[in-house]
Amino acid sequence: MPSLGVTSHERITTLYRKYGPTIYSRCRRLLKDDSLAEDATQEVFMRVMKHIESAPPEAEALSWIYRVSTNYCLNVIRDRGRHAEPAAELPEVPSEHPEPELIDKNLALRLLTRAPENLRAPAVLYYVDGLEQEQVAKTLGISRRTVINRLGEFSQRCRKYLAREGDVAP
Amino acid sequence: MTPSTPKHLSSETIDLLSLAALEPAQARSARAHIDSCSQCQAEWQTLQEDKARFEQFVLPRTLPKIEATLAPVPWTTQLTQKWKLLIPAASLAGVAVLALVLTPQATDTPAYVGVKGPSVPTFDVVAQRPSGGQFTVTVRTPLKPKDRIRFVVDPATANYLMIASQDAAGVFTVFYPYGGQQSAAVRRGEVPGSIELDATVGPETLVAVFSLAPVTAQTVKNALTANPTAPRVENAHVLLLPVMKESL
Ligand SMILES: [Zn+2]
Repeated sequence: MPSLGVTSHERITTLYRKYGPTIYSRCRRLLKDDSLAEDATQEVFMRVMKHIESAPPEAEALSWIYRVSTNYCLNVIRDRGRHAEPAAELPEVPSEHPEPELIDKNLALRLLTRAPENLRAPAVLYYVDGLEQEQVAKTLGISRRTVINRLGEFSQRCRKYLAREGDVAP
Repeated sequence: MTPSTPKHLSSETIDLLSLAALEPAQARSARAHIDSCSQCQAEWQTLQEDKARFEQFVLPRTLPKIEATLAPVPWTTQLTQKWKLLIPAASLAGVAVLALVLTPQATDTPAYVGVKGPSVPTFDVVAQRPSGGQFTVTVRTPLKPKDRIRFVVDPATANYLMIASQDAAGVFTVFYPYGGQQSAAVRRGEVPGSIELDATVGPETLVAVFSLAPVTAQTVKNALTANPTAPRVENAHVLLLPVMKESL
């Protein structure tokens, strides 16, 4: 006689097969480390499962995946940063609410860890994932104005950093 | 005006394309963009590589822990009722596990007596892929040409059943009784026969109509045309299962 658990296993496996690759790819990109990405995939999937219906529409599932995996990976990056050499922080910019500027995806990824924590999640979703500001706001549960302010600050800081370092964007 | 990000595909669009969850028109334009843009093509490629890596390495290593953590708790209670109903069908069919993840959406007319009381008709769809592998079809499960689908039902107090499908182009096909003009007598368990899917792609709606007396195919077709997401058929209990047919 099969146990009820078998049924749930079936369902979990189906959803994990379906959404696991998306989560894994995302964590791998953010963490740049295969084994950290593997652990993160497992954790993020379990957390996402707490928020979604048994068979959610894909867009809804993705929205949770983006939110949970972004926050999870940024925490991993932060914790890892505590044990590593402190990276030069992005310079401060005057608080005049600059508008977000264009930043290359790879550059945004590279400078992410140098940005203050509150700027990181919106920067990932907007510059790396290419979501619209409205979607970023919805995914993170913050206002669109806040998103614009944080993206503006992030892009200004990046610009100032590059100008100062004489760095060349890839 | 706020400058927007370059007109590349967002991660979401690429993920949805990979999940076969874009509308056909959106999918076509996303594909066209990928074909013409090296950056998005690289993103797509990376996702496909990660997908393969996930299946090969990550899944086998991480699934046991996920199952151990997630499986015992939340859904068992919800599934109890369903599971009991399915056991006879499942053992008859020699299939280990056949519980449907999500109950198809139901629409009723008040006169239908079958829905009174605890017993409600159920409609489960199981697919068999020629390359091997059997899976339960749930809302928007991707199906491919040549997949064979079978139906398992519990009619509760209903006597008659019609199973039909309507595709995006509005083509209406009766699966049970196959090609029939009206519903046929039904018993609990697996519905006789299976359907091999053709090469039509796009969204398709499977509909199961349980009733006390036979209903005609024309009635069901009219009901679906009038209200594709919540068709109502007099004196019947209607269950809908939207699915997605993909190309090979
Ligand atoms: Zn592009």
